[in-house]
Amino acid sequence: MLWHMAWRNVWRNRVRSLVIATAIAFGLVGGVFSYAFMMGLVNQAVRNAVRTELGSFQVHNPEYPADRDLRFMVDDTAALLTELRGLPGVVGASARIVGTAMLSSAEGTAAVRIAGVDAARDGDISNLAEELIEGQYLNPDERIPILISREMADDLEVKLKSRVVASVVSPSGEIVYGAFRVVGIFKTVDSLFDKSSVFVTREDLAELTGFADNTASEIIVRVEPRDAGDAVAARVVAAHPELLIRTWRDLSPQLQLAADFGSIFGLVFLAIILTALGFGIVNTMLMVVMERTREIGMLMALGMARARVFWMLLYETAFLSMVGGVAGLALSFVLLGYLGRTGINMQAWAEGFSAIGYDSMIYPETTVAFYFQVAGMVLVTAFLASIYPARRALKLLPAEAIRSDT
Amino acid sequence: MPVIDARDVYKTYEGKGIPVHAVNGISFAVEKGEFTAVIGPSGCGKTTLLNMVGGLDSITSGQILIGGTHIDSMSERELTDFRLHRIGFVFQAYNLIPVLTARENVEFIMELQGVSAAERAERSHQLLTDVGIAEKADIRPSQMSGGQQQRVAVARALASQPEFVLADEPTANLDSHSTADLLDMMLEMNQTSGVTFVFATHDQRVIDRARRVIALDDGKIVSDTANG
Repeated sequence: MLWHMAWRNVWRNRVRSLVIATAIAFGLVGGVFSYAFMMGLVNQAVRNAVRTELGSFQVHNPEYPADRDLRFMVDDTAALLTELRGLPGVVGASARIVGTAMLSSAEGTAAVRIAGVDAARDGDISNLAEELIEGQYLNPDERIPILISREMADDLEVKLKSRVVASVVSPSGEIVYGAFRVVGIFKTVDSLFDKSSVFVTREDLAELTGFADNTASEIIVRVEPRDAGDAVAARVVAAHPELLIRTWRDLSPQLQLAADFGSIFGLVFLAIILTALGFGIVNTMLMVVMERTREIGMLMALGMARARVFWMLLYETAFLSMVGGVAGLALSFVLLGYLGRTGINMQAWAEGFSAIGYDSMIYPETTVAFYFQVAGMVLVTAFLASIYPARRALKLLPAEAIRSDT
Repeated sequence: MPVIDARDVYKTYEGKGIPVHAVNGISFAVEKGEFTAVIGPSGCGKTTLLNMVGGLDSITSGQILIGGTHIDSMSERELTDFRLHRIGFVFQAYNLIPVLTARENVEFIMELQGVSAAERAERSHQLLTDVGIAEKADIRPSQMSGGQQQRVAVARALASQPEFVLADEPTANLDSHSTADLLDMMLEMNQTSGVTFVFATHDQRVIDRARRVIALDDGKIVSDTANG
């Protein structure tokens, strides 16, 4: 009957309860939306980075990362690739020759990171082919093809079929020059990546630099689901202590920070909203206690233990919060379901987003577990918010409370 | 053994440094089956006395025994339990739980006592029938008249099967007709079931029907007489 009483008490002042429940609902929508927006933004950036540039993890010669010297290579890549592709969760592994180069056209020069990729297998680990906006992907049958970004094409004032010259430091330390023909122009969401990356076939770059067969500067491995990447990387570390294995988190600590910060920020923001709502609930429940002083005194006089009075007020607060909480979460679910499909177009800030590697079309993301987490936070808020009003009620003396005007 | 045995009871408040004796050395006993009115002018101490007898207020000195049990030395928790099981209360302003129906108001006390649902249903029906309001069992207090609400309050007071019922100005908000009905009903319960009633009142209609009248003034008993 305590539950019944508490539930009915919530609706004694229907307008007031609806006002506070509505405040809770909209507060939650705001908090959940912010969290989902932040997670969508960050996850998209991570997905893009993993899919376009980093992979789930990369394999290097331990000496290589210091200055990307082509002398420090991974040997026997054929066997290693076979082994990696056989690991559970690995959906692709591809070897690349990667060095630094100066890329020149008749109109300009740019410092770039040049990657010689296995055109047949690189699609397993990179979505570069999907990012092409002009031309086509690398084809080993074509002569000296190169993919450059839209930005670089503009900077060098080149277009499809234009010739560019790359000067690269070979493994032997010599500077070698090679001419390439632009066959494709890509544009990713990460303008920094676009400004600094060009792609050629492994065969052409190996021929230019004298890179030996069955070796590579790096092997990029992609694992699905993404969260399983760390475990697979750990297996490779154990099996190949002579190699340097780095996950996308190691390779892009700023992205890792953004991912961590994004989820923490979302939760902190939600906690701030709930705290503010908590004070609203405290205020409402204090009014309830003041308005029902005589009734609470009467209940105590009749023999209702103070603990039960406390629980009754706790239930009332919980019900009030749950009405708002359920409405808020349902609204959030519908809203985020819709926006998760359509996305939120932040085109006005596209340049800024692109400069830091983010897509301007943001798809808010949440998980079912998150909704339960929020529901738990609402209940905790309700519990905390009920303590002070309930304590006020418990301090009432039945004999005095009964004589109260309220 | 008396149901209520108050011995040299004092209740003193400190008002601006000057002690005020709300109850000033009162001794009286109430036997089972009495229908007693405690009367006196406003501020004479009758409500304070009833509150102390009902375990709602502490005493400054003296002793109060209910059915032979000292309540003056009980803890807060013991007093709550004591009130729940051994005393029925009827208050002046009806004081029903507004969100519960008449039946639920009566059952509420039994639920606090841990009575089973089946027994609660049976007893609440019987009690509401006894007070003549069974047809209003599923109606909330706001839809009842003052007299009907006070009948439910009496049924609730009896729901815990108490040793006696304390009624503080139970007729103060009732019209003559409702007052007469309520008093008839309580007298009938007193006579047929032996329920002990102690009223604090200054309503002449109650005083006229009481079989014993204890008059207070300035916190002291000034007369204790059998009525009729």
